[in-house]
Amino acid sequence: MQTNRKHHISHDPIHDSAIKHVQGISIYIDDMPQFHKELQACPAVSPYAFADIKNIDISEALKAPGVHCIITAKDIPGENQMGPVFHDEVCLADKELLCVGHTYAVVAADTYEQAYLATKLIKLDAIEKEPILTIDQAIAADSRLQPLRVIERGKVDETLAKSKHILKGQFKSGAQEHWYLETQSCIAVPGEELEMMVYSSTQHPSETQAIVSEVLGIPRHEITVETRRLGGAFGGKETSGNHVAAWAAVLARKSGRPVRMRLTRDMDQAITGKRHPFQSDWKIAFDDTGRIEAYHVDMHTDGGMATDLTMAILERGMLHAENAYYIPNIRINGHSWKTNLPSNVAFRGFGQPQGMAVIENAIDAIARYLGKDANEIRRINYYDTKERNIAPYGAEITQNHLLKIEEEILQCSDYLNRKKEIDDFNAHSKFIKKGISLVPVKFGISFTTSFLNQAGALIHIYSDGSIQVNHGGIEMGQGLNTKMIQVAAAELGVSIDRIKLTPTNTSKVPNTSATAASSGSDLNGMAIKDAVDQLKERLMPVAAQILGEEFKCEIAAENIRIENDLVFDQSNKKHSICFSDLASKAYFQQTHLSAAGYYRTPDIWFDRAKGVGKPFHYYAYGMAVCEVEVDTYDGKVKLQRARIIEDAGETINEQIDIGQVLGGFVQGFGWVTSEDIKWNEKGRILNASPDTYKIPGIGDIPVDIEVKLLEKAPNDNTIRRSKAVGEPPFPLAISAWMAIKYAIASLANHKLEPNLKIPATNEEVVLSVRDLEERLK
Amino acid sequence: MKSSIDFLYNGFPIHIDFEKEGLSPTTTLLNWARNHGHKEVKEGCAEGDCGACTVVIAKVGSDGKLHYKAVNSCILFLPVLDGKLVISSAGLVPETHNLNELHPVQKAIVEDHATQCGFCTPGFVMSIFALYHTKDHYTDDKINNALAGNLCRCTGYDSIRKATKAALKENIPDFYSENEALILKALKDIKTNTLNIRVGEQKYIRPKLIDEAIVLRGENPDAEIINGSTDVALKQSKHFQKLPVLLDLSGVEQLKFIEQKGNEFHIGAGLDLESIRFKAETVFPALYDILTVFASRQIRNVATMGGSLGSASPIGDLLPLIMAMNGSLVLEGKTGQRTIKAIDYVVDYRKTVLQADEIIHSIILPLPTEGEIVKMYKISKRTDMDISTLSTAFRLKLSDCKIDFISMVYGGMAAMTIHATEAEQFLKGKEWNEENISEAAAILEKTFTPLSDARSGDEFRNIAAGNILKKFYEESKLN
Ligand SMILES: Cc1cc2nc3c(=O)[nH]c(=O)nc-3n(C[C@H](O)[C@H](O)[C@H](O)COP(=O)(O)OP(=O)(O)OC[C@H]3O[C@@H](n4cnc5c(N)ncnc54)[C@H](O)[C@@H]3O)c2cc1C
Ligand code: FES
Ligand code: FES
Repeated sequence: MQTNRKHHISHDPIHDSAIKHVQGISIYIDDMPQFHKELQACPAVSPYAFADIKNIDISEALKAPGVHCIITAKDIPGENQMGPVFHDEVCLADKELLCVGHTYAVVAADTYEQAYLATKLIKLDAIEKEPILTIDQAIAADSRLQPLRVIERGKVDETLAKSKHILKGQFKSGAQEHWYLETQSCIAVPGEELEMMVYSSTQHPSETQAIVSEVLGIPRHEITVETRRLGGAFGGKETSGNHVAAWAAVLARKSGRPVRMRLTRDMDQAITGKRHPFQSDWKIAFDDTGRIEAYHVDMHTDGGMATDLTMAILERGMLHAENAYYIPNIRINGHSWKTNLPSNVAFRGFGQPQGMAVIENAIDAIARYLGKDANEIRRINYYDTKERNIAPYGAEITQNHLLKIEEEILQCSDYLNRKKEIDDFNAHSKFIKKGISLVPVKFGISFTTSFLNQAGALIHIYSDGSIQVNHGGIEMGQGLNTKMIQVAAAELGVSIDRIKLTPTNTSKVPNTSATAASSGSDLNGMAIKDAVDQLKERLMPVAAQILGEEFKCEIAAENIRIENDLVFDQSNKKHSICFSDLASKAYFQQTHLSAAGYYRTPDIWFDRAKGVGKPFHYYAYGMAVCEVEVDTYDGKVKLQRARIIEDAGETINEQIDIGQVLGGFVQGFGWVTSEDIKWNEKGRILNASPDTYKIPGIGDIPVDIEVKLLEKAPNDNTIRRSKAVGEPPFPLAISAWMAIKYAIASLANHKLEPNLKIPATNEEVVLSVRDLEERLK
Repeated sequence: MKSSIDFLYNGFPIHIDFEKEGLSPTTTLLNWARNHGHKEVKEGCAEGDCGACTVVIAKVGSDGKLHYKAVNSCILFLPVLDGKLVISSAGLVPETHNLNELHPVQKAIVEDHATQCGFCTPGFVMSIFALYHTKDHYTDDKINNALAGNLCRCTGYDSIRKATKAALKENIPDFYSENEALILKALKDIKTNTLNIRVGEQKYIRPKLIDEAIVLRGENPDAEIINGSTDVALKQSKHFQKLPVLLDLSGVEQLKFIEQKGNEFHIGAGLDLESIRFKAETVFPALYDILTVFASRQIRNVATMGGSLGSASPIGDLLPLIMAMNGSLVLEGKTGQRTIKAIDYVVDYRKTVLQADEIIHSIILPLPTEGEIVKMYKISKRTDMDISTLSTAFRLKLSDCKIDFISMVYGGMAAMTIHATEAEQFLKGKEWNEENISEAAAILEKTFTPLSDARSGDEFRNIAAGNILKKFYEESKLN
């Protein structure tokens, strides 16, 4: 990759753990040394998709070697409850087993192996019932998870009825496993009386604390959750980590001993939730030029056995149903369905990719129908800046960089010429077909549950001038801590070496939100700035006094600046002391050198019942052009070239942001190509290990891939004018999928619309080709 | 015979007396390391698929030098380490927080921002470290291939590939090259006799000589043979099954050979697949190609042809080619050796003609003759590091555009690897043209009744079975 290595890149600090990572000395939960009398735990899970529990007999298992403690629902001292929003999920199954993998007991033994073997001795007596395993089955049985949600504007039905051109179809996208490298882990250590220390691989320590408090039936102040770093999360540790934490805590309470619980890969893959599959029925009306007049979509999502975050995920899907396009008449119906599969959970993009894929596929269909280049259709439908700039939910689309990005990406990808070359190639190639596609992304940034948009930070300046920064966010590889160190250093005017970032801990910053929705640096960065501002306010008068005494003159506090570790009078820079001296002297002058910062995103709201509001603080934009080669005989897809431009505002750390863009894109590439999950007719997951579940490997990513951050695009009103960059790149990979579709369509000279779903695995491609060939006959 | 092992871990001598410690000999290197505080070795899957657990094993090669190989510690049993050096990411340099004191491989990863969450990183470091110590010209494809066994979910790989290239440009001696003489001496001082380990009910035997192995095989007909253990170890690492008696052939140097005799490869059952791959590169491209997409470098560094055939898996990637070439297996037991045709070797789902007192000694693999077109196709969801959904080996001989002979052997389409006899017969003597190929492909689509499973549905398998022939046809025209 040739990145635009600009002069300032070399000044960007490297990831703050990188030097430890390469030596393997970074500490993850399961790397923590063994506690005295520690036990290890393994869950006993349901083999049935749906069943009534009659009896759970643990007597044999209790006698197994090394076993010390087994818990079932009866042993939960507090509430048997796991749901983060809706309280519809139990901690341990007591009456019903709702999916294969539903945990009904947990064993703690001296070793994991002993605990695992003991789970096989638990006798489960249950009566199987007929499960619901697909969205279609759920619809047929009217198995709704939550009531229908609607966002609507304009005259949809009328326009659809009188429009000259109408297309419709059904679009499906599949489940995706997070495949964080570090599986769910936790160590619960009982303390004095009711205290419980919980080291958890969670993206949301405050919620883990809340859930542990509920299941133990004790107030939150008894529970401390600490998380130093995660070995990847991607949404899969936003709520899923709570289960392991709750089980370990209940076992620790019952046994009085520290309990370590790390799911094995297979167990993790079998029992934790996935990205929500979506199945959408759409109808679109447009004029001769391809300008969209009306769009109706029924999004159906499979929430699995419980609500978890399904409604927020569906909501984000609905809020991005129009992606980057102004659609005057639009209706988005959001249906959530309850099935007998593990409850699906947050996953990078959080419903946005699923929602946006439908309209992108529809636009592609319009282009094929009108015999035009898909990008032409996209362009005439993009949100405008002055008019045609109001989203279906009534908010104004601000900082619209779509045309600017389009111009740049058309150029750097050489889209038109490459497309022509590809068409020429296809005309002469028998079974290898190529495809190209440009796809835009508009991604709203903020939790759509408005109150979640708040964060806290805690900064201590020690009297030697060293600084400790703590915030509510979680470092999971995304470089949040590195950025937060940079923010603290830049706001305070000191070097980053002065700053130590300590593990996230609920006793340092309470009541935090999940590190999710790409909001980590936006929210925590602002909270850190607030803390720094408070400290500066206290330090400046002291500095003025110290400098005044030292240099024997009168210095005004407003004139004090701190830069590069130096504290000086800006009207006479010779009047300076180093930051450490200031810290020490300030201490002796009895200055409060610790500050708690706080931030809440201003002016955002969303009225769910009406489907209107300003749910996002701002939007991030991006585009990708992908080229693929498809073997239409065996279905093999090769990504050959990719160009990506992402709007990261004024980046805080360009290399970290580029890493996020690429990582997100490649994860999206897996979602649209090789990552396929199948369940058998009994509701058992078939792809529960990396043996059969295939995330992209290094060979799937071409050397010819280039990421650029949009230049000169400062954000308003965010920390250091930056933008969130965690999730928006993920759906850019839909361009690779669209290119695959293009390649397949070339077999019918682009006259027929291929039937293709996400993921376009080799199997899906070959079946799509076969279907097309049959329609051609 | 001895019941304890000695090896070096990051240069430090380790002695393990299994019986005394009450340690099961089928403890994996990963579990042992993590239980002894070596937390730099990570577990991502415990089945050889992710590479987080990658360490490098160095041993004294036939040239008297140290040879470095990346392996998956999660599926490697401890006794294999006897007389070897294990290197992990924590053992490349003394612990440091200074970028400039890192090993060139580590430094490149840091500088190219090729680590995010860091969980995959120790494994990548070790795979690249092995390359650093193996001189070769590393193209992008070769780097991709060597790192196919390492998964990263964060970076998107581009930075890792860049870092690898940057590291491999360096030629700075490191601790291991500087101390090679000392390490060689320490390793040579370890007496690696036949191991006979008994812990509780479990028995683990690791002979050094073929004769010994045959005798031990006869004495332990119930023993499970292992070689690379990349198949068998999963029973322990994932399913905690007891493996009561194991006969580990990986110490038998006499089984690690490859020779070209006339127009045949004679391949010892104990030779690692990566060595076979290198040897095949110029001589037998179809074999090279299939080995290139066979598992990962880490797996191929220890897995063997004996193991591939021993498991008799219907989705094994080598049997189709061996059958298409009309190869044979040399089996050896108390009464001596016997040679059987590969086509007669597997008799039912995972059942073979191997007798309880026999081992697979070697494989005789005829090479393509003048004018023969031989190709093998593997269809899998991911190109690298995946098990076949189905696979086919073709061997074709044309004379005057007519099919003199065609062999088509399919894996993944039935309980055993099988010839597509009907289509073979249909094509024989016919013209090698599109029309006949289409007809044969239609036959192939109906020949098998494959399973629907995690890898694909039966419909895809059937269509692909025919399509592979079409692809072979198109590609043969280019020859
Ligand atoms: C991550 C991963 C990826 C894999 N990818 C592939 C792939 O792409 N293609 C593929 O075909 N396979 C693959 N495999 C399966 C398997 O590892 C290989 O087939 C390998 O060749 C087995 O060799 P081994 O020496 O490690 O076998 P072992 O595990 O040591 O033994 C395997 C079986 O063979 C028997 N055996 C071994 N040696 C002998 C002998 N000399 N005489 C008689 N019996 C013997 C054993 O008793 C055992 O039943 C993969 C495995 C893993 C874990
Ligand atoms: S832990 Fe995944 S390969 Fe060993
Ligand atoms: S850096 Fe997280 S998996 Fe590679």
